[in-house]
Amino acid sequence: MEVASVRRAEIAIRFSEFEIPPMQDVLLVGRRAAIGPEAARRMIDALSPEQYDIVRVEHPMVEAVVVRKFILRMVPPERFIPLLLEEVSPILSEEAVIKAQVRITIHVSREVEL
Amino acid sequence: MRVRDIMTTEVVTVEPGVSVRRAAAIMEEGGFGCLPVVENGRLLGVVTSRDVRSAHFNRLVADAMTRQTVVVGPDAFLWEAGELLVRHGIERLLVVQDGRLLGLVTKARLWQYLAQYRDPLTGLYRGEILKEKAMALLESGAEIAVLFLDIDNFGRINKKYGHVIGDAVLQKMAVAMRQLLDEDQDLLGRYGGDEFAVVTRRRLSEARTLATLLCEGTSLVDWPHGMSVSVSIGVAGGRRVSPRALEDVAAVVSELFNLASLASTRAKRARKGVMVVEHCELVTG
Repeated sequence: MEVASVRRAEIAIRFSEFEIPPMQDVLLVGRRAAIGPEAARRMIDALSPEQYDIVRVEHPMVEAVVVRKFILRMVPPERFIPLLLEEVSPILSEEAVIKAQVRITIHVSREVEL
Repeated sequence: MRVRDIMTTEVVTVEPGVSVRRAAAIMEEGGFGCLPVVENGRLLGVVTSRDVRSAHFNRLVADAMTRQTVVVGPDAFLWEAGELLVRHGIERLLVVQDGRLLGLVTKARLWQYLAQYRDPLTGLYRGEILKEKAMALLESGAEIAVLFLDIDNFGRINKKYGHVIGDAVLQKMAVAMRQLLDEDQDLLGRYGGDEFAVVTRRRLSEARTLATLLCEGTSLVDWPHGMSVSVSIGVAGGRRVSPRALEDVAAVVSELFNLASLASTRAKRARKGVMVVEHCELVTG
């Protein structure tokens, strides 16, 4: 007895907005990652010119940190980068490229005479 | 001879934007141990086989290359390039001027030329390299003196004992003088035949003392067949009174060698041992 064979395809499409740039606030580039800081710089310069700085770091696993300039204006790199590296350490590897979202709130409290 | 005279100008390079995978393929295809990374003619670094092995193949060459590169200028002397190769333990030297890659010299090619600088009998430098080293010293602002040494009656030694013994005298003379010199400030070479020369960083008065020491020291050597061997030495040097152009340096060095040679002839005739040309003017400009 012959059985008819039926082939069907099911297609699912999910649309979402492409983030520009796709890396948010900070990108940590591992020493043996598939892309290096120069490649990241070229990508960023093409997508968001003049908005990011590359900070090369002396770290066993991280080669460089690509960071939004605006962040470094609020917190100087000598304060921000060590803090970032310390927090990311548990999930870090030489091969990884990790993006981070950073929110900085500055609290101001002043007194004025009435 | 300068680096630009022997460098290869056809150099295979890569741009910083190509992948490590591509650079590795070029290296394998051409049998290269490293590739200069060049952008718009400017040298950015070098990607070595080690860089290629340790980096992810997807990376840009710019993210894998070695930025600290040992380079040499086109006007460097060959022995200067040779010293750089030895000091850094490398096989190739990139020739760069004002940040632009002009060519490269390999160790094999350099050694082929540098071998011609050595006198095979004594192992000393030949006169040509002595002059180049003297030029390099003058170009660096150092003051120099030249000692020109001539073995007395060497023709008679050759005739009486034969050329084999004559050669042994030359070899022994080279060893004896080397022991009397300070290699940090004196450079010894065989100028030709029975003539030797020393380029020294000593002041003229100290060079005269050195010449006397060489005269006395070499006479005390235990020479073959108990023969007595002496040398006549001419010394020339002077004081630099103003900066000089590069093209003048070669003329100044030739003049110093010539004056010292003439002084050694006068010392020989006068049987004085040492003759010094004092206060010779080293400036032509």
